[in-house]
Amino acid sequence: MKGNAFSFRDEAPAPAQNPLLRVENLCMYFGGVRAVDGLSFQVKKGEIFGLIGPNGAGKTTVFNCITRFYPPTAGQIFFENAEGRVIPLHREKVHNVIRQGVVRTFQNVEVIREITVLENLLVAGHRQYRCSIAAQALHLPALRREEAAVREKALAVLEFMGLSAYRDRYAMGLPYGILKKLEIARTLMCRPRLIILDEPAAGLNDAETAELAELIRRIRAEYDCTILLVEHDMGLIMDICDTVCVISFGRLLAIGTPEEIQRDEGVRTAYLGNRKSGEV
Amino acid sequence: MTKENGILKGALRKPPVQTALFFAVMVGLPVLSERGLLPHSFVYALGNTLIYAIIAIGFCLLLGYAGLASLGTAGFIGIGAYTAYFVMQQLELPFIAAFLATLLLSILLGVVVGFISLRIEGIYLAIMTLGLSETIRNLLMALKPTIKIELEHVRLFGVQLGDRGSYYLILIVFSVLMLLTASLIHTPTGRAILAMKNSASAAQAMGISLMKYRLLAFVIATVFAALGGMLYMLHVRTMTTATSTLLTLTTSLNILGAVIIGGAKSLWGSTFGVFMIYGIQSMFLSKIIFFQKNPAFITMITGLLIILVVMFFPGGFAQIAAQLRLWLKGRLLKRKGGGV
Repeated sequence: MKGNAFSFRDEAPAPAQNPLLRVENLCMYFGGVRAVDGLSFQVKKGEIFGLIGPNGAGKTTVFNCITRFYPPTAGQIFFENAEGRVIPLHREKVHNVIRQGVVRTFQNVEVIREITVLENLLVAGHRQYRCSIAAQALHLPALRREEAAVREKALAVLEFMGLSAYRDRYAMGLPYGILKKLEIARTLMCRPRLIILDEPAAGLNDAETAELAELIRRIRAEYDCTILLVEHDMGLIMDICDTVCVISFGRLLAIGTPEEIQRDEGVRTAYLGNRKSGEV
Repeated sequence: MTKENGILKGALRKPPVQTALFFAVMVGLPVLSERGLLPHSFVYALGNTLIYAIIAIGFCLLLGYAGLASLGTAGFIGIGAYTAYFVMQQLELPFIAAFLATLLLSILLGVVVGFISLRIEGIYLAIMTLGLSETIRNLLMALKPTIKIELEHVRLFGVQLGDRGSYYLILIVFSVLMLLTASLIHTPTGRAILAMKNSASAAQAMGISLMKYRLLAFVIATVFAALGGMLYMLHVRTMTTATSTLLTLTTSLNILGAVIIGGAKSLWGSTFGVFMIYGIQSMFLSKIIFFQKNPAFITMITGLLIILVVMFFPGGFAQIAAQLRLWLKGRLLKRKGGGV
């Protein structure tokens, strides 16, 4: 089964007519600061999409708008959900975004430190419980059934992520690399359609980054989802991304395949500065 | 033998078993006092202490699990006390009406404070709830300086409750609420509340509605405190709203202190903390002439305890107990190893 999913993708890279995610004219102003200023781009189904740009370009702000942590000043975000309907994501509540299959990680690792690794995954499965609070307080059999189902799923995810050994360890005090993995594992608990990774390679060494690249590919194949990531590690971006989008000062600078981006004059200027002005 | 031990230990961790054990011990104490083995005032003080324990477990959920600081506990207690007085003494309605009215009012109040907690956080939330508590106290003072329920009105399903009756009622309410809260902690709801405290962003990204669970935490704390106030009126039957320390910041701080001393993330630890602060005070210290003459020293002991615990055992008595268990286990293993 798993092998098939892989080869299927290799043979026919899904000619997607509808984009999975469509960001249109997104603006996010903080007072006078235009963090994102009229940005538009599309993410195709099943691709690995990299969002890059110099520090302060507004990448994380874009993520926060998509996942509804910020209410955009203007603009629209459309998302094709599991039923194939295109929905305006910008109208969802922040805690309902996950129900559409949009999940994210954070730049500064945000795990629940006071509970174990397994329980962290159970938290991520929060929306799969149907029991009322009263039924939960009474520990009715319905809760036990649901708990068993979510737990089984969590164990499978731990196995897939290679975190089984840490199952019952408290998240507090675990090494940074493990916590980063735990954050990614959490996104896999809810039948993800779009996984948004905010600097997944930050703080990882070269070997770990290589492992991460492999992991991201495996996640896409196994969970049949689309991945959108912000990253500063150019090696990683050029290695795994199908499409790269460069933004600078909240505006779109270039979008295309990694090769196209590497050749782009404007991108080079944005990152390294203008040679002439630098000499003056 | 080790297997039996394991089963025993596992059972001891289950909330129903813990609660049943506690209930069994507490239910026997009035009988001892009947036989003259314990003074009568002891059981009366024990009832009072259990009322504070009810309030403390609600507060423990709010502070230790939801990470929300509140200094409004006293006000919530006042609401419950006054509602009980008004419904049972003024309107002469049965207990169940007072119970439902208290429940309804405290849920409403909890929802309001919960909504405010979505806007204001940390120390400002504490100050806001303190202001609310003072407002309620002044309101009650203006309404009636002394509230008193006549003994004949303290009836439960037609049966008049005496001192022992109200003690048993308090014990039953405590056990039920303890059982429900302890069970809730190990469910998706409990984990959601804890997640919210650890990282509000992660919780939201995982589909946890801050509004729902903050309101829930505040409603639970408020309802428990108001029920505590209601039970106080059934047990003590009288309260001078103008001078009673029960309605002042002292109570809110004592509950906070009890939860911190006991272990902010442990319901039984919090209960133990209440026994340390209130129980020792009313059952033992108040019997010593020195403390009777200088009641301020009792508060000093409480303060000292808080300082010591926060400095050396931030996890409270629950942490001390856990470390002690580990140490004992280590000693036991060593001895076994030495024997072989």
